[in-house]
Amino acid sequence: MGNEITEQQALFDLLAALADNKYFLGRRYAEWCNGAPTLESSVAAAAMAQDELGHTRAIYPLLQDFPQAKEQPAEYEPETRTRFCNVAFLDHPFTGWPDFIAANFLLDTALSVIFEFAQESRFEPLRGRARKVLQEEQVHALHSEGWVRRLARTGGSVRGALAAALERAWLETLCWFGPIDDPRGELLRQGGVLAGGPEELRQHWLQRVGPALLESELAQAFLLQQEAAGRWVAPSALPWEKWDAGRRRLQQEPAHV
Amino acid sequence: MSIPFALARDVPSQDENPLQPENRQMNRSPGSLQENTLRPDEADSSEALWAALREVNDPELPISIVDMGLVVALERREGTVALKLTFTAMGCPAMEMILDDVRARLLQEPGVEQVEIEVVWDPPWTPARLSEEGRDTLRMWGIGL
Repeated sequence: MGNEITEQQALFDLLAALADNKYFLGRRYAEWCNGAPTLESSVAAAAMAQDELGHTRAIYPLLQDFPQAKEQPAEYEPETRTRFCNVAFLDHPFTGWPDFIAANFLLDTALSVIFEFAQESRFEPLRGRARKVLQEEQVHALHSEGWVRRLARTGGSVRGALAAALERAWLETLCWFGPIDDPRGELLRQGGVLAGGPEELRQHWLQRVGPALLESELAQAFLLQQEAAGRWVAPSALPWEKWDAGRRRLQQEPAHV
Repeated sequence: MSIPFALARDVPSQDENPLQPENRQMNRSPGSLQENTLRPDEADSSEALWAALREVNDPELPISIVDMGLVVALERREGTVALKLTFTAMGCPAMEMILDDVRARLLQEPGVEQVEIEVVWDPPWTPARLSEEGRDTLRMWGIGL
């Protein structure tokens, strides 16, 4: 499989995964616009949904310049796409507010890591959107980390529900950057699309989410530790046998709306 | 345009606003639309275009898109006006409305037959792009800066 992948295909897959994950993240956020635990968070959910859908609006059109989209024109509009490349845990509505926070904290941050590594990208359309996306994502990060700490502090069943939600999203988000020897990731790094390979991206993401998990004593479930040298280790056995590399998701069955 | 939320979360930068007519000479980065590509006899026309754009308001507040700092670059090539526009937020719900208003207003200018608009996100919009008049308007409407 790996030998047949081109940089162009890797870039198309990356853009499709970014667009589809942001599209479904926006939809899932929107479902909580009037259901969050506080009025302020309902407003924040609406604002973040608007941001995510705005990001998709800026990314989907990029797909139409690729031959893959020319073969199937319907595949670059979210309304007509049939082959979504979103993580499996966005396939269905969140089961509760802790799921919202887990996706907000883990996945939204993972998507931002891509834009952080694309700020000097040789692919201008991604570089030209990266700073604006990151500007808007600052608030998402503050919101999610604040809520992780708040729910963890609450204790009891609330803390338990948060831990369960984080666990549901953890492995797939950890996998999301690809295997360490992922040919797609390597092509994107070599081609200057992203400023790092899969493991560097994953380390950066762990650096972003790790401290709040450690300080809230939520990291033990993921075996997450920080070594003396600062490197993060999360030695879970990753289920690569279920990994769909082209669509960056852990389940093979089609995603659906 | 999501202004209150966008303003609340924006990190102020020291960027000068290159869109104001008095600052347009700053807009000289490679690849950007530049006023100095205008022929001398087009200079008056450029002033008229900026004046026309000042009549296009944000649909949610009585502030022009020029004072809001949304016009990144402007150039006229004979019957074609080319603009680069940005927005306060990528999810701005008024985006299409503003684009339509800009096209419609510029097409009213003598000799303008075509309007080409490119939406750009770099540099990202920050409150530093507001004109003084724009700041006053937003303050009057209770939006803190």
